Amino acid sequence: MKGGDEMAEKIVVKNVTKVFGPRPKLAFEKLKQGWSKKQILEKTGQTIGVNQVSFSINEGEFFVIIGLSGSGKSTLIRCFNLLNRPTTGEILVDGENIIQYEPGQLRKFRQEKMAMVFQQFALFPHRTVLGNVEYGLEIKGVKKGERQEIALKAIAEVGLKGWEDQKPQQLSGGMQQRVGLARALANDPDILLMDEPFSALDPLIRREMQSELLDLQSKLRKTVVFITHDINEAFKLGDRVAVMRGGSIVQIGTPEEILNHPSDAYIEDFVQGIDRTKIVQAKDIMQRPDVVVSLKDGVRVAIKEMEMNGISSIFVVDKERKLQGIVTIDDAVQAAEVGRPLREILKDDYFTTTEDTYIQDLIDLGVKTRYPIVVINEDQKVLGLIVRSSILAGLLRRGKQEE
Amino acid sequence: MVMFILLSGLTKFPKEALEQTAAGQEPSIIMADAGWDSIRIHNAIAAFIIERGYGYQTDVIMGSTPIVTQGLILGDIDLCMEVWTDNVLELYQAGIESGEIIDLGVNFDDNAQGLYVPTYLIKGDQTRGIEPLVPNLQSIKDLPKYWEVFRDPDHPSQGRIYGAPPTWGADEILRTKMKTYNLDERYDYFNPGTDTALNTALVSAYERGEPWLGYYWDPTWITGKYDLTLLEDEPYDPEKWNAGYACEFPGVKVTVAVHKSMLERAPDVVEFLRDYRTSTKITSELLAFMQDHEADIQLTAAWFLREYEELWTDWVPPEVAAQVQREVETDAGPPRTSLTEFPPGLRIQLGVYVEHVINWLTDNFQTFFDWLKAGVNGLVAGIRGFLSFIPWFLLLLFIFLLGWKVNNWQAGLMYALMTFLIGALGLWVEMILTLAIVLTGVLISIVLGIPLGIYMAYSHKAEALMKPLLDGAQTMPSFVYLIPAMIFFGLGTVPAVFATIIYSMPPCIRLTNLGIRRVPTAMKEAAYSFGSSAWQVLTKVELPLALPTIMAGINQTTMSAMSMVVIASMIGAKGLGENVLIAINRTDIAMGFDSGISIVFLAIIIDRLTQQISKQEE
Repeated sequence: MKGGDEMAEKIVVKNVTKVFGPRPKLAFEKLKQGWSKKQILEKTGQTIGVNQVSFSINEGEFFVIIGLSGSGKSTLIRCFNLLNRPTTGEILVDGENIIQYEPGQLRKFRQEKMAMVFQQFALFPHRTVLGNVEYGLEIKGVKKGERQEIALKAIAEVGLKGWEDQKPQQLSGGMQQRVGLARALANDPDILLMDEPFSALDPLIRREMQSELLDLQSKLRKTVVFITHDINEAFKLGDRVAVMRGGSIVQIGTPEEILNHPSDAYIEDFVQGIDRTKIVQAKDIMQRPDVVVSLKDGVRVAIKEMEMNGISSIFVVDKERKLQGIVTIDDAVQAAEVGRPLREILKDDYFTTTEDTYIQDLIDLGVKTRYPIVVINEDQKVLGLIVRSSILAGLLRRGKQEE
Repeated sequence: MVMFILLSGLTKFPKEALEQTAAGQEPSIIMADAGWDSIRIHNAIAAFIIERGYGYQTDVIMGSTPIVTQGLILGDIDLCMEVWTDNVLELYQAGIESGEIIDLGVNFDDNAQGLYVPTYLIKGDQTRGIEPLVPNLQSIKDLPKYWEVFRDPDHPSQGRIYGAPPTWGADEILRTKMKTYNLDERYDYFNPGTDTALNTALVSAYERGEPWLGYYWDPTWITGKYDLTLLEDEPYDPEKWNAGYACEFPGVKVTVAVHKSMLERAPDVVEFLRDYRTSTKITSELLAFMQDHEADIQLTAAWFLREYEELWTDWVPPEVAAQVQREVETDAGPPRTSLTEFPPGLRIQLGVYVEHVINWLTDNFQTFFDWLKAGVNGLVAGIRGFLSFIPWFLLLLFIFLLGWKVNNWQAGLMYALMTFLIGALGLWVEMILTLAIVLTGVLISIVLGIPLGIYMAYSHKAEALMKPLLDGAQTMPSFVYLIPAMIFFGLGTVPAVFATIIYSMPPCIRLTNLGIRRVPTAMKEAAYSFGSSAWQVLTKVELPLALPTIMAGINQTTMSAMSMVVIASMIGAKGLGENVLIAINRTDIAMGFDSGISIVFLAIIIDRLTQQISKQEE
């Protein structure tokens, strides 16, 4: 887990099970006795929606739950605001078990801590965009003037300024979901629950919305629980991703962890469909820039480094590790004979990139370049090197190959 | 012309409206109007003497024979001037035995009934150019020879005898008599359904100069107006009568009866009524006079009081007689009593079981029903009072503006014109009465129906229980609702409102339920996810989203109420429906059209207004 220890846990899910049916406790007993979901469905007619799930979500984290339809992901997210009441288990939000809340406490909790964005938008057709966005505040009892002001701000934030007085059905799907998002944000919740919010949108709009959501998230730093069945979306958005199957969580990790170390064949299959060129970034495949020489080291050191590492060119940095250029072994040997300084034989016919560039954008460079691609930051500091072979390897399941 | 109507309307409508509200300060003596003309004439005569001679107020409630007899037992009706004892034998006997009804003796008993033919069949009619078809037909026993004359269009191999309405005592007697006389070999016994249908059949045949043979009775305005011949039969003999009715009908005892409370309330009137006795001959004369004078009952009553002075002055003490005589001389016209007709053939048979339940209910919840009655009465009176208080031209203006706002100015103009026409047809007061009952019914239906619909939408059990009830309520012929309404609330406005509510509430409940159930779950969940309470979800999400459907329900409710209030005139609802009923019973096309078209206008206005509102909500 990436940095989990230093962050506060916002939501802790302990052993949560959700059974749909007339006698859920009975089904749960059977489940504990080791009956399979299928057996329970056949013998008791009840469906296990979520099966003894435990995990936690950190404050400010973008947590994506992914699974195929019927995997229990939507059931699970609806447990977080008790639209589904878990059959057993605990859900702690800020240390409080919300399942034990009285109706009044639950309403207050829903009003203050959580807001949800729905797959089919679930906007109120009898209210204007403004009326929709105001809704949560209205329920809270915020005064009209104040709530309008907040709502207008939220509407502007999702880029719908000027559409306040339209009815939702007059807007396109993408705009409607912006209203849904604004409605959730207007409440200023700690936690944003997003139940397949972009699934109903066409791919172009979806990608646009994903990017805007990331921008918003970088500003707002909410704890986001995001449901999707689209692995590309999951890996693009999620700080961490939980993969669900048959009501259970089968793996939790960062996108790279899951991509590179799928915990079983199911996940392997699942991530197989993914377009890795859009997931794997430069930082995932770059090598540590150990083999560079400093300007002050001179030509001889450069030759020695190349000899030692069996390479025919080497990058040159200054004392702050800022990239200066590249020297080839031929130029270096010539220069050593005539005593020319390193600085004079530097070439610049290499390519640079940034660490969050996807490999789909590196493939072209990889074909053109004679040298490794240098990964630098905005200060020209060298972060890593990418050789042509690792671009190709990145397209395969690198984890498997390494094992 | 229009100007003239406007001016006369200006003075006319408000005056009548005021009279309507001023009426009923102290309890009147309620007289039964069982639907035929002779009872109305006797009512008018008795009412004149009671009001002018004894100083009591009187009022009239209309209903079929069994219904007014029931009303007499319940005390909703104080006085019935004509109880045709044979036609309501069991009920009447029960009323007398329980002491609720006091029989004050015979009004007339020398009346006739039996098989009649138009006289032109025997004697011809020179003025109409009708040749006598059966010049030798005299007796019922001659009939087998002439069956071809009365050929039944449905069974051309037989003749047709129009029978008595199926609920009447004469029905069974005639069927048996036909067998006794072997008439059934040649003739079909045709069940007319109601006496109205019988009237219509007779009158239309007569007007066309066609053969007609069937049951009729005397005195009626038909026997008064049309020349009919009663076929001869064996003279009445109890022995023959008991052996398959092989003789003529005995005279039916037509009695005067009061509710027991009259003994205390108006002992002097009771004494007068004990002596009230006329004859079939007199009654027939009166009916004929009435037909000749445009059915003016008041005029007929006044004529009787002048013509038969020796007769009626014996019924009352001299000072009363003198007072009434003075009034007759000076009277410019007694106050209008309502003229109503009701098909007496519409007889209701209550199962014994239902009867027990109903008795139990009325015994144990009378206070509740009284309380309800008072409340509903107050509401109707309030609405009526309000509508009557508005000057008619302001109401027209209001309707115009409402139509303009809801639809467009052309529609508003059309609605106002329609309303104006109703007034111009002389039915303004009736329209106000109808509106008052419809509005009360709709108001109560909405107040009860929407919460019930919400409950139904929320509870599967309630839906499972209420769905068949609602289905039943909408499939049930609307007439049926008159029964419980009458049993619980007697006769008059309140049972009419009650029947209207039962009939018109189902669409409101049904569509409220439907509207709320059709609110997408996602919408409700979204509302709940923001921490809404159940009440907030209902009021901020479900009801607004269901509103177009609910409004469609209210539109249906209003239209149902409109149709029911016409039917409810059978149990004493006043207004336009009353006129329709009279027109039907008289086969009076002009009157039927006037009141019918008024109802259509009113229905169109109400429908367009509520429908448009429901569309706007969408």
